[in-house]
Amino acid sequence: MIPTEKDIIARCQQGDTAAFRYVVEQYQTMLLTLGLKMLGDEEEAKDIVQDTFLRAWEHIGQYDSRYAFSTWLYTIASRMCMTRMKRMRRIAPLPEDEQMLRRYMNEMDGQRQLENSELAAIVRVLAEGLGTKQRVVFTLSHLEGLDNQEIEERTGLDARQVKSNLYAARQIVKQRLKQLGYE
Amino acid sequence: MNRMDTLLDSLQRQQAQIEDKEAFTDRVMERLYAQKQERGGDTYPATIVAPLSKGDAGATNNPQFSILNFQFAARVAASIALVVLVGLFIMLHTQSVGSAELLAYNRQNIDKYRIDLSQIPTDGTSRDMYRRYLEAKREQTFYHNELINYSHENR
Repeated sequence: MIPTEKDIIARCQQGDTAAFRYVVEQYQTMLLTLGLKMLGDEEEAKDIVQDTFLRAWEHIGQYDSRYAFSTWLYTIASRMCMTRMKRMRRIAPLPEDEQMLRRYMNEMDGQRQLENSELAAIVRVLAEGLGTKQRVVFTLSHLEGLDNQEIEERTGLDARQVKSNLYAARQIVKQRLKQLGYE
Repeated sequence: MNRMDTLLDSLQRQQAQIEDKEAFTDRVMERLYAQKQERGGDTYPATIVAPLSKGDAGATNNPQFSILNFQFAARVAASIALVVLVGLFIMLHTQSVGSAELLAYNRQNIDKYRIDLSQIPTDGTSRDMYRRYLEAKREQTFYHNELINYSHENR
């Protein structure tokens, strides 16, 4: 019989590291994507993924199986990204990052799958000038597709903070794209 | 849909690439084992066997909750320790300053009324010497008492 995710998590809760290995394999792409879009840096994103899994392992006893495990992991990662962002300097795009964005804008119809470094470059251009909370809500909303309610749950911000930061972030990004010649 | 929305929509579909998932998983597991070793072997999972405390009840789906609680408690403890240290420093500093003042006052006054035996004429009668000694001793005691009052008032 093939074990369900619930069984695997239960085994993790009993200290089974082999079961946890399956969890890591299963969710690493989701978390790396989030980290990359949040932080605009591949190495930082990989660090966050590793730290998230370690944190999850340490606290897996507190996981409530009534909720999706992916949501629980995603919440840990989102908050760790927020903490990391506060420590990091503001994102400063490299000169070539803008060229990357222009190339992507020109070929967007092709839906090309970006390399990690390319995705990070575009994120850096878009995130320039955004504060930590603005970056978090903007990323979760526009780059990850979460609704406001989900953002509140993942970040711990209240509805007013999410709404106002999202509005401000959107205006800044709009202005930034306008400066680059995209109306 | 304007260009910005098109761009954001397109980026939303972008996924990170992990070239070697196996190697990436190995790194995570290595760190996990290393951490286990550091903390003394099979101590995980820490909370599964322990019943949840009342404070944990609302945090079962929020792993950061207990971590944040711990961080908050650590911050509060650090703040209290800092306040105690600063208080202790101020108290000791004040006391040491007070002690130094008292010592200087003592020296100045006690020395002033100390009986210098060399100054007592050797050719006087022993009775006269004893009377002068008693007078000096009385004055010294008076100042000594005054010093005690002074130190109590200024403590």
